[in-house]
Amino acid sequence: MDGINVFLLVMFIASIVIAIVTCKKIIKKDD
Amino acid sequence: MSDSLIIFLIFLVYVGGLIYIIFSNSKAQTFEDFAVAGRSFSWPFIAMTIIGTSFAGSLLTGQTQFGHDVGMVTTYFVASCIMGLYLFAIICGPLWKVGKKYNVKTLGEFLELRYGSKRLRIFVGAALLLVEFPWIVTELLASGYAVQILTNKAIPFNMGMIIIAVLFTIYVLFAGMRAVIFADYYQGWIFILCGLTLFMTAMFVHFGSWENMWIETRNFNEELLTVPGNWWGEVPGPMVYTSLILIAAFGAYMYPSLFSRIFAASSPKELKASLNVTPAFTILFAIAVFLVSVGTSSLSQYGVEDSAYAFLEFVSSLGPVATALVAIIILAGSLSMMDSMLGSWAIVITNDIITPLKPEISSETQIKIARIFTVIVACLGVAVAMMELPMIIQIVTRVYQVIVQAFPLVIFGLFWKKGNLYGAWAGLLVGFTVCIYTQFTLPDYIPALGGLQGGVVGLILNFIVYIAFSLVSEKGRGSEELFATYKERL
Repeated sequence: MDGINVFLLVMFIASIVIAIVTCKKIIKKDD
Repeated sequence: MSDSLIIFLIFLVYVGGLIYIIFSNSKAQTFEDFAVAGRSFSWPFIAMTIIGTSFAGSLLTGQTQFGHDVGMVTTYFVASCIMGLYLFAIICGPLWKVGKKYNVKTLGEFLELRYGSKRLRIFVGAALLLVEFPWIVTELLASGYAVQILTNKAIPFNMGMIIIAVLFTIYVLFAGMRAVIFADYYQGWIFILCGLTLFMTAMFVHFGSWENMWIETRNFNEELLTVPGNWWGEVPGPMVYTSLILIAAFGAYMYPSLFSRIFAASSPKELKASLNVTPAFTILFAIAVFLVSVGTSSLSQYGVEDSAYAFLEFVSSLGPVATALVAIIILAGSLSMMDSMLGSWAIVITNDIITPLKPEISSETQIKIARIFTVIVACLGVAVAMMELPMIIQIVTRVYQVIVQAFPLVIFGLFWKKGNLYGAWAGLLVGFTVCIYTQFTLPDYIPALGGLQGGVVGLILNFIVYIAFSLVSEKGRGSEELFATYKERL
């Protein structure tokens, strides 16, 4: 895989992780 | 590692994350939970669900096709989103308070409360559902394109649509609004962070710079940089751009799916806080998607078979990860839109059509009925999506023209005490009649009016007739108690 695809893969994983982690944090805070 | 395996693994990771975030929430227990998620969500969720529902998968197919073929006119969407958000800011607070105090879950319920008419509730509920139905079709079409990109056209287009429809329906059947909003939140992040990065990367790889993209576009065809541009051999007239903006801005929050989002928030403060981020994302998205889609027209190797593929091929030419991501982003957008619409179909049919006729039905029965209709609507959506249809952008703009006719009823209903039932019926019927007439005669624009669309003419007459008839009688003017709700702290 070239550099561009690796970069895009990292952004993809980051967006999933950010979504799941922040979702849990916000729910905890709201509760 | 082969490209197909990379694409498959990325898709698995996406689905895995989605399943995790959906199933880590409890199933809807009551109809209130199913319909408005217990009115419990804070602003990040509201912002993402608005973005998810507003930025559908068909944006990356139909709207980019519009940019590729016609040019800058596709940016009407940005102006209409910003204007729509401003209108949302005006109506969301009062509507939320009314929803909380009187347990309103849908637009139809609000209209019955305000105008005192069950018939109006049933009629508007049914009409708006019918009008929203084509969006289910456009999203299924977009999903079909996504599956084609994901599988390199190994799975036939119609089969791809059926697979997605089955998966989406199963998810919506058990989700209810709560899980829909969590899923929108997850997909919103992929859409924004991943999507923006992907599209800007594609632009820089192909063109090297913004400046170069515009130079190449101008050299290819200057008309693409003008508004309204050349509409597949026709020039509609200068008013069409204004018309597109107005119709989409006034109509956006009349869709049952977006309207109901207002009631999912935990307070008006959370609704307004969500507006801190949504306009910014709209502008970023405009730059990354709409402007770049105009640039893709200068690259003749993309969109040869069907210009709706042009933007997708442009992006996926970067490699297997880009291919997987653009398909996922379309599916994420389509799912965000479809779960809202299938959900709101089920809720509105149950809440605004069946319950007024049979008020004694239990919450469990309401949920059962809602689920049955989810399946029926999804099947109908697939059946229609397989027919010979106009372009996605034509379907979208025609639908907006009709749905916008509900706007005067809501805005006057909220803020003008003299607005009455006669005004509501008269305005709505006049607006619908003009719209439906022009849908069959001049569906995209009216040349004699400089390109103005039938929906705008209908809306103007709707406003005038509403005011005129409201001054005739006091019937259905709404109680003082209702208007006092806006000032209450709830």
